[in-house]
Amino acid sequence: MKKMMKKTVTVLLAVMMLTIGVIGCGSDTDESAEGEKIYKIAFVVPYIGDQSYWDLVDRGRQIVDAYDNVETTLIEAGEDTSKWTSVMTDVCESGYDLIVSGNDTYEYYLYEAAENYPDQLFFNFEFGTAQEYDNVYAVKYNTAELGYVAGLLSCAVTTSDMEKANDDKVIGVIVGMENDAMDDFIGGYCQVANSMGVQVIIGYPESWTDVAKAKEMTLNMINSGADVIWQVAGGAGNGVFEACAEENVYALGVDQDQYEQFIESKPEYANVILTSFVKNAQIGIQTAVDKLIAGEYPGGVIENFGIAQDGVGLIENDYYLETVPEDVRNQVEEALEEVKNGNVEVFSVLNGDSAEWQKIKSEAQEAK
Amino acid sequence: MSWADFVNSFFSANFLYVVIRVSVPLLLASLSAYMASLTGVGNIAVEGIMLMSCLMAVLGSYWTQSAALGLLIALATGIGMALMIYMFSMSLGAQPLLVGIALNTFASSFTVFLLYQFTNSKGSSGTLPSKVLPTVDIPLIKDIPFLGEIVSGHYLLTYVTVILLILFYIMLYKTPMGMQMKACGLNEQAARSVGINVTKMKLLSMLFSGLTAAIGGAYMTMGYASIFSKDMVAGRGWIGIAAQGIAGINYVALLVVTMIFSVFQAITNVFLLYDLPSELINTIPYVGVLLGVIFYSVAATKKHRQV
Amino acid sequence: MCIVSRFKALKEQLSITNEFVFKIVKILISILIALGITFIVLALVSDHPLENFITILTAPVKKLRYFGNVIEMMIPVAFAGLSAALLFKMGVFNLFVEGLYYICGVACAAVAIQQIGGGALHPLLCILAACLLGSVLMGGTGFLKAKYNTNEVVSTLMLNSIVLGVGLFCLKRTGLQDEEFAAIASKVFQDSAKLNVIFGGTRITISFIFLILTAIFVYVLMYRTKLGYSIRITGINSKFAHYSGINVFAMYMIVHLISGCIAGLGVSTELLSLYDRFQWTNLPGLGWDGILMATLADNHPVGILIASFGIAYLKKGAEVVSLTTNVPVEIISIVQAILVLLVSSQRFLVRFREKKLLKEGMKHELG
Repeated sequence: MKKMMKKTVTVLLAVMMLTIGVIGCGSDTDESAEGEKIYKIAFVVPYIGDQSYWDLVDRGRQIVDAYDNVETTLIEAGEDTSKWTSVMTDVCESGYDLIVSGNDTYEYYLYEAAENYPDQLFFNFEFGTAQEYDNVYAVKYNTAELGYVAGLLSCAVTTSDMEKANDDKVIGVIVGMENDAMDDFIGGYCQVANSMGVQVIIGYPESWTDVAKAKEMTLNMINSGADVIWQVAGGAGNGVFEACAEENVYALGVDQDQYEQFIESKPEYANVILTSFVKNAQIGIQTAVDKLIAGEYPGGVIENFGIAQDGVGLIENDYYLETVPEDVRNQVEEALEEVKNGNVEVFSVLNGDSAEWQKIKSEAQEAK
Repeated sequence: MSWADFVNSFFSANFLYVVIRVSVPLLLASLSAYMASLTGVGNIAVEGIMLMSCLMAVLGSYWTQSAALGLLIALATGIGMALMIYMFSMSLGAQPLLVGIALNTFASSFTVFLLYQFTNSKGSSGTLPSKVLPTVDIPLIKDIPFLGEIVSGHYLLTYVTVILLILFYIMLYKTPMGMQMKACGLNEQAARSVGINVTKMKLLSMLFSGLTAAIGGAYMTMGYASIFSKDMVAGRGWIGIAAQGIAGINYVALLVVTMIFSVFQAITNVFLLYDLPSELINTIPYVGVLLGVIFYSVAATKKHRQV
Repeated sequence: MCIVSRFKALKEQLSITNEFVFKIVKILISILIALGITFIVLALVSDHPLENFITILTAPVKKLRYFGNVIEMMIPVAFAGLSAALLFKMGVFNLFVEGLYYICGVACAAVAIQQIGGGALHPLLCILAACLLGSVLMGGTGFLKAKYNTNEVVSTLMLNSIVLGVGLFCLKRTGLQDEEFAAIASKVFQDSAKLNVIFGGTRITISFIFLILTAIFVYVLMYRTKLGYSIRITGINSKFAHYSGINVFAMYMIVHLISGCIAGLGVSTELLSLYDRFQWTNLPGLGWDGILMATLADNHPVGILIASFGIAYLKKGAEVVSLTTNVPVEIISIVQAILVLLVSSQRFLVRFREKKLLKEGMKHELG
């Protein structure tokens, strides 16, 4: 026993020494440019790599990181909200010029820190409920309008005589979780379906990762006549693409150009993704950073970026232009104009009455 | 939804086809738990092994650009992990429960870790061009009305699973090896005393356990879906363990329980599309198993008392 | 040789058995190996492995706040471990503590959002609600096991998923949901419900005291009472317990009730100390960690406290490293799993040593 213990410890020490020796003293930290002010910006998110929502924020970060005078730090604080206060405190005490965070689940910690550190500047990249603080600039992307346009495109496709569209006037949407924030995507979606006499099938897999479940649900939808399905379920949304590819119907993406995302690795997915509906989150982030650098940080300002401000929209890539016929595209253009001009009042689940939402939702799901 | 839709959802060839599709990973998980517990070793890490195999199937087929090799890599992973359980619990005396839990947590984090190393994503492997195994349309059978729709057009691994189920049945009930394995589980001392090589039997059973769990994992990412997604096994391994818990060493009961669960799961997926609270609908399969295990134990106790 | 025998005499005087020493030694070796592996993994993943390695080991003690975080992290896990240990010791592999943490949390939240007076009343009511529900539900599984020998692994696994669904339902649709909040979350906990910090500069509240008290309670129960004796006997051989006249049914029921109560206590103190609202949309994983601690510590309360502390320490260190570098946070789960495997597998050495001890003992006897 003693011998074995000695042996083990010796081996361990040897391995450690070797590794230390190999790695050496480690590289020095990068040297910042002389003279010019380098803006240090921290991005506090739960995690990245979901290829949807949080990656949006990360893309915004990468864009500003490419500026010569900006240095960004990505901090993945995890999903456990009890840790966020201490993480935020740490970040506030590290001397960043700007802290970017937010989102309905985590903005509480941003505002809590904003209260405790009034000299620290914050950017709430997407607020759920904005609070007024002089050191916080908060923006929002009009998800309701986004859903409205998605709904319109879906209805237009299902009633058209595009290749994969069938005779049924049924469209589908897979929403990751059932809560007000996510339902905001489908408030306008259902509204427009009602006005066009199209049935909506809504599926909540209650998971952002269960691909198989999303696929099963989508297959069931397709079996009930849906020929265009919108995925709003992050990673689980890949199941939607699987199902649509297998059954040869159309799919719609979210958060990024998912056609581009999959064209190399999974062309069978890409070829069913007509387009993707995105929040141009980088607009907000870029605006905030640009204004910070210009010395006119809009602290205390709360803005809502809708279609009119180019805050949300659909990706008009080549595939979209080729596959979707002109008349359908025109319908979408018209709808975009109507929303921009304010001629259409898009129903927003977040701001609206929940009884009314239930009404719209039930009506949408009725067979037509 | 209209009545026509409702009827169509459940009383149709398509539904039975769906049940089969849903049942494959569950059957494999049950088999995995069954084989391990048959000789008394036990495998709590079915979920973890499936998850690792899922990922290795994707990574393997991506590296080798071959579906077959990807499958082999997944199988090797599963067998390797099962053997680890064997080694840690048999040779080194750790409790299988502990090893299993440790492996499950390990698999959950390690898969994300590996995924991140290769794809810079912690969510899914969508950017990796991995391969899938083909779907099989059985000629002639596929044209039979109703039956054809149910039986033909499944993924390759579905048919492999059916064959495996039959093979295992034959092995367990018609060969000496099967008898020996069962003997080990029932009474190790007695088995040893009649000359059964208990060590070899345990090792073999763990091998089978790892193999079946690995096929289950590979099914998830090489047919059912074609990408890996974090935690995508979503409890199927645990269902297998639960099924084995109910069925004990009764092979047929194991299959029946698993199929019942699969039916429940398929029903749930349909109900999820109705305007009902999805978080409650999602509990239907579990409620089913729970009621099943309660009725079973009540009945068994009553029978016991009668005797 | 002389030194060894004098050392042995000293050990006997202090009634430190060889077994105890071995347990410590084997744990230390396992920790060393696990740390070694951590270092190797760090070397592969990070640019500054030595720096990161040292950070993992020392960060938690660098700031009072960090050390406070370690204690915070340890508390709910240790509670879960204690809850599970009682049942495991009895030979019942009940895994319900994970699900209980969720549903009892919902119960606690339901009371915490109400307008109830100040002082100690409000938190007490919240904790009581959680404990009561925990006892009832765990008691239910105990009843099934005691009366019908229902396979507890199956029933509790299923129940974990079921209570998640039920809990979510209650959270979303029975008035707990904060209408102003877009994500799934309960209304804000009233200030009167929250527990007060007892160590300035940290967020440690009275829950820590509760934990220590509970651990003492479990220890006394298990090792100093007749009930505890029955529990341990049943755990070793349930048939023997039955034949020696122990009222197995009553024992099962009592232990399940206590275990459920501890689980309720664990989650309610956690919520009232560190959270402003109930936001969990998934099982928190604390129950599983607790089960792991219990199994690791062989269901001994003191061992559970130590193991929980150790794991929390490493987790905090890894957290600090992952926040400031690109080392992914998953690394700590990997290390935890390896550590667990090694600690449990060191039993091999114990068996080996026991054989040696036997030989020595025989030598003494024979001459």
